[in-house]
Amino acid sequence: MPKTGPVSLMSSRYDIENIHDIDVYEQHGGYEGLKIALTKTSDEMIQLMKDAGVRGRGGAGFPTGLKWSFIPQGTDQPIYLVCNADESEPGTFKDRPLMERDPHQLVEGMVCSGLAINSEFGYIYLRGEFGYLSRRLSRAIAQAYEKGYLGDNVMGSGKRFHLYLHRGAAAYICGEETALLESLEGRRGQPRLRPPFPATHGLYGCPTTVNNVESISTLPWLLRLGVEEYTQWGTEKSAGPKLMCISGDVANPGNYEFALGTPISEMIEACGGMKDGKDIGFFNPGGSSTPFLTPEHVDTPYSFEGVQEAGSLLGTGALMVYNSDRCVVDVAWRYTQFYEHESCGKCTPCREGGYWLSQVMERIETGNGRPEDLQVLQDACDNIFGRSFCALGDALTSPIVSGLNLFRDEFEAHIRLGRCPKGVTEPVPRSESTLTDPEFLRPATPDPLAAAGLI
Amino acid sequence: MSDADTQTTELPPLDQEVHETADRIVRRYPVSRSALLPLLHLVQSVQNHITDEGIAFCAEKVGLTRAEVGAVATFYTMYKRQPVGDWLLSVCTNPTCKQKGGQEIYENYVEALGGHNDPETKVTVEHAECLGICDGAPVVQVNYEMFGPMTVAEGDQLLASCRKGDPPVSPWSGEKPPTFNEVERDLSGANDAWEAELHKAAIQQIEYDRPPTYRTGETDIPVTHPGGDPAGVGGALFRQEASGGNGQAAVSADDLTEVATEAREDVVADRNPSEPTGEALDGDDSQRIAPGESDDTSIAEAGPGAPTADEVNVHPEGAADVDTDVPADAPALTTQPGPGDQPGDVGVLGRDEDTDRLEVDDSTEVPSDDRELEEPADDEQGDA
Repeated sequence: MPKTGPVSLMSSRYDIENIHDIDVYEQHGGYEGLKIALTKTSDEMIQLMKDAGVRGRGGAGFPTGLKWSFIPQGTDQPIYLVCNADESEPGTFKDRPLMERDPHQLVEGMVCSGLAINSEFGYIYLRGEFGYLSRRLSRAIAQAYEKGYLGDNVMGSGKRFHLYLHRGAAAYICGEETALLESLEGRRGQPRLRPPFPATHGLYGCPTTVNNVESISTLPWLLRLGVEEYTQWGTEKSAGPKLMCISGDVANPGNYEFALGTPISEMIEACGGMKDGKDIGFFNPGGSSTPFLTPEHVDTPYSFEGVQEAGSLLGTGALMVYNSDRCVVDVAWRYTQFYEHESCGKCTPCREGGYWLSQVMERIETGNGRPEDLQVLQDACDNIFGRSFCALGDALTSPIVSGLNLFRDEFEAHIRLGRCPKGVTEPVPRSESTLTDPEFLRPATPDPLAAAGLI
Repeated sequence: MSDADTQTTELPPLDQEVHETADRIVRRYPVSRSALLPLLHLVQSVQNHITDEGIAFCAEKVGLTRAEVGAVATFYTMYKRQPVGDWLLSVCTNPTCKQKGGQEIYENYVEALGGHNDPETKVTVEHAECLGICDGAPVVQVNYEMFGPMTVAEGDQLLASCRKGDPPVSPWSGEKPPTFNEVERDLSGANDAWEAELHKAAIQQIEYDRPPTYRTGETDIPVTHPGGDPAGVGGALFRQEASGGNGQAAVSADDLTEVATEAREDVVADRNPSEPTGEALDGDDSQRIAPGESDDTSIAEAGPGAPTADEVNVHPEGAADVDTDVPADAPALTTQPGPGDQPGDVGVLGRDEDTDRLEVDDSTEVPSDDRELEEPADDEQGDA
């Protein structure tokens, strides 16, 4: 029976002083995984990933080994390994500490993963706003080159691996893998149509795999521990430990590591419980894109399948907890503004939907909502979900739809009272609101057949 | 800040050093356009925002039009179209930070500055989407250096110290924030110590039998040029080996009509209005930009006689069958690469001996099918 609870694996070196320096890293077992990787074939390493059942840590949870096996070999093209370090999902901060405190872990992971898919060129796409990390990683890579872990002859094996550090310029959408590739090619970060998938036509039209920082950093550990020891943690369908970012109204927000399958209540407990002993109001289990859950879900095991059963998604492992004083409408409104700002503009449902939804949410939160607004929200979300080009559009609807499903009475109270019942936002007087034009955002006219009394 | 203000402010020029740094960055990538984001950071490291001059600079370096560069520059939040002071304070106002006081900090800042920009103390304030530091909520970044958690009062202190030009040490990095120019320089990658390795890596990628493709203009049609895109390091190598080839858009030999020639001359003339049309090509180093850029324009302007991008002859397998149909007496648009023709010293990159794929021996620069190899879109899609 696999274990759950706190784990110290990926984060085990975080507290060692100067671990970001290559000499210290080597003293603590650094680059041991790479030595093992050099003795293995590509197929063996992909099989290892598959056997361990490692699922992508970037949000979608796609099995990493399977993803690697899609890379066509022998096409006479370069194969690219791209690391998605554009961490910008609200609430998520698991890759940042990893790169900040233990950057060589990622460098080693990149070389090992590169060997696993026969890639000779790796790109780390780093979020631009991480100025400090950019310096840290830059130094780590330069050190790795000096020591011969990177370059034309990796540790004297005759294999080559070169690593680029490419900084983005702040666009949430570049966390979507095809948008990331567009951005890496020097374009606007707008997602590509799939198929063809990046596995065959990715960066520069060549076979490419895009993996999250945490997924890539897993391989050296797996090589050192072996499948059996690695899968002692987690559940059958969600193996291994997971870096968790727990924030919001808990006593000690921060970065934690738990085996997948640990109950959410245990995680909150490990953070010192709720701040000031307040009650949980609601929480996002995996970042702003995952539907809200309520206090009755706190015993849900935190695994891909467990959270999904509860009606949400595991996402990036960003557990954001709000106490019962927080207004769900306010939170959903701010997230809608986030998605409105970050929509890349490529497809209409997301671009226009975000813009209008955010105004309806503002109207409700500032006390000028109308009874029909809930219907407007629901209609608009139904027309965005599944109809947008990429997952950003789907994510845009999730705070609103899950808020409406779970907290409909709170939305209604806003409209009935003409203000936020928890007093989170000052109501805007009707005469001053720009959103009270009687014709502004009426719901679609009733069905003409219904209006004529025919149905 | 109005346009008038921006124009009257004296901006540091994009001098020789910046040009050389940009050339070095471009040479790291197998496809030059990849250097665009770093180059835009580089422009900001000198001029504090993306100026029109900066856009033209990037366009020249990666062989794009200014419109294409502008389209990219305006997409990303970190590229500012208005001047930013030495200290850029980004306040996160996403829910976790907002509830803990981020919104109040932000509103205080705007009130204190009387807006978002204070030219006198060189401080700029913006609200930011989630900065990924929710364990430090509420968070303020000074030039992308993290500060938090902080109370509203501490937030005010941080602003005050920035206005004095002396921000405190960040609790996260243990370092003082760099100035806006310094952090942008770092984000451009100009300080990356292993650059020489990347220059090698770019060549290695190009040397694959099927090298990285690039896409011209805003189309989705992938294009393979032997050795990469014309404006990049591969194109430079190719031009050198082909003694004057320039990666011009593909036109078959039969189409070397006057129309195409004139169109090309028009493009050249447009770019260099002061120069006489016929001689514009000879050894002029400003010509380095023309070939890359004129990819679409020359075709578009060539009129019905010239092939469109879709009709262009396609030789996916490279230059094997190329040189034969080029007339030996091709029109006199020839040029040898001038001294300023190559960005950087490509000669040392060690490809001189590797000419097996590149058998173009005449030195014509006429847009011809011999060195333009475009994979059909159908092929690309069909494979998948």
